Amino acid sequence: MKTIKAYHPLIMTTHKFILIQTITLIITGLPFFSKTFSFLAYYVGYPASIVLKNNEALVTGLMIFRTLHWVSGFLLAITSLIFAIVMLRRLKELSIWPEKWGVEAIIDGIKQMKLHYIENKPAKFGKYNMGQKASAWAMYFFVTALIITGFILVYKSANAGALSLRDAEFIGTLHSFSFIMLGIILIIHVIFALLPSNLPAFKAMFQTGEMSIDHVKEHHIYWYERLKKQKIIKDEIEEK
Amino acid sequence: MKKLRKSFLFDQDFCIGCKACEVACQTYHKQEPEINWRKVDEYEVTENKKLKSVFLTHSCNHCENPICAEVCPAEAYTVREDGIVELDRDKCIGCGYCAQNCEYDAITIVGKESKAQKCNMCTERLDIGELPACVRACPMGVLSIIETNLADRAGMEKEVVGFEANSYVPSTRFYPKFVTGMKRKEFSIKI
Repeated sequence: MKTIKAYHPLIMTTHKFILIQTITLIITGLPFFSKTFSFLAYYVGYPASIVLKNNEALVTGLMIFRTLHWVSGFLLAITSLIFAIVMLRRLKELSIWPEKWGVEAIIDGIKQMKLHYIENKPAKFGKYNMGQKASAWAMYFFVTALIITGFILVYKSANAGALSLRDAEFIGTLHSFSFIMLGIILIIHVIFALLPSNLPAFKAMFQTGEMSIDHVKEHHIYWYERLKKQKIIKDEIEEK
Repeated sequence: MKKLRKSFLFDQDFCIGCKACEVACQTYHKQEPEINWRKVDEYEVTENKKLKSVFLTHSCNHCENPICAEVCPAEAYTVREDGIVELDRDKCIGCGYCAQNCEYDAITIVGKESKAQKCNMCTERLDIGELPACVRACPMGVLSIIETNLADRAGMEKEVVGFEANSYVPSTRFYPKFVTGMKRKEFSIKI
């Protein structure tokens, strides 16, 4: 089967790393987001409090979670920064820009998504469809907001008087709002990634990094045309 | 026997704004200079077409449904049987949610430890039959401790210039304006 490199190894590694960091950040952040999730801190804090002999399961759990949250956030920020710097050099080649601009292109993008996801008919997509591109941009935006507000909150914790209470509350609210928005987008992202029609892309992202040319031709016609125009497909075939 | 809910009772008409309560609190609790569990604010009101200064001494209001306890992820706040909202500083992780949510700015997280702190109505003194430091220090006798039910039965106010009661039901009560001839000691709690 003729294949094409769909994802750069850096993208695959970063994606996996961000996935782990995001799960860690969500789990460790939930007990601070709402007391409904205190049980998570108890699970970790109870054995730790036995070891520490401090008889404070919840507080110990929260301290551990907060440390993990800060470390994960810091690592995520570093990863995102490296990723952004590398990707900025290849900005024009990225597939997150619209194939066409304007209202008509948006309406057409929605039509194509309806064709593919609801009517199960062949649709005209690029490497990513309009929904995927929109969610990617939204994710970039909210992750950036989370990292910036997160760093401000850590700074506030280290220097209690650095922010007024109202400013701290505002930053905290922005952090929570960005988390809710990102959470919703991530749920949609995961659901769509697990759809049978997305399986080749899923495998490419997490295993091989490659996608069959037949699949690209059938499901991502705009991308296929672009690759052909750039003579990348031809090169790949010759290499094989 | 169930303990009765306690409140601060303040007479705004006779407060001279000397801040003795503020200083006494700070000294007794050995606070850092920038930390005041009790603060005295000045307001200007117009009475009979004349501008007049009135003062409000305020600290934690030991609310009936304290928002600080509601939002604290570490469950560091507890409400005693007598209604006093206590903070266990060993449990506090310094997230600041309580301070951000308290509408009366009664909680501060400024300080060396970066942990929350607030008025505890000097429970350690109350428990041995002594009055809180602020109450003892007031030269005008405008600050006292009272049973909340008794204050309400006696027609004490829940709001005063500079203070609005919110849905968390603050326990602080105020003498009604222009009430004369009232024997104040009748309303003071016998500890």
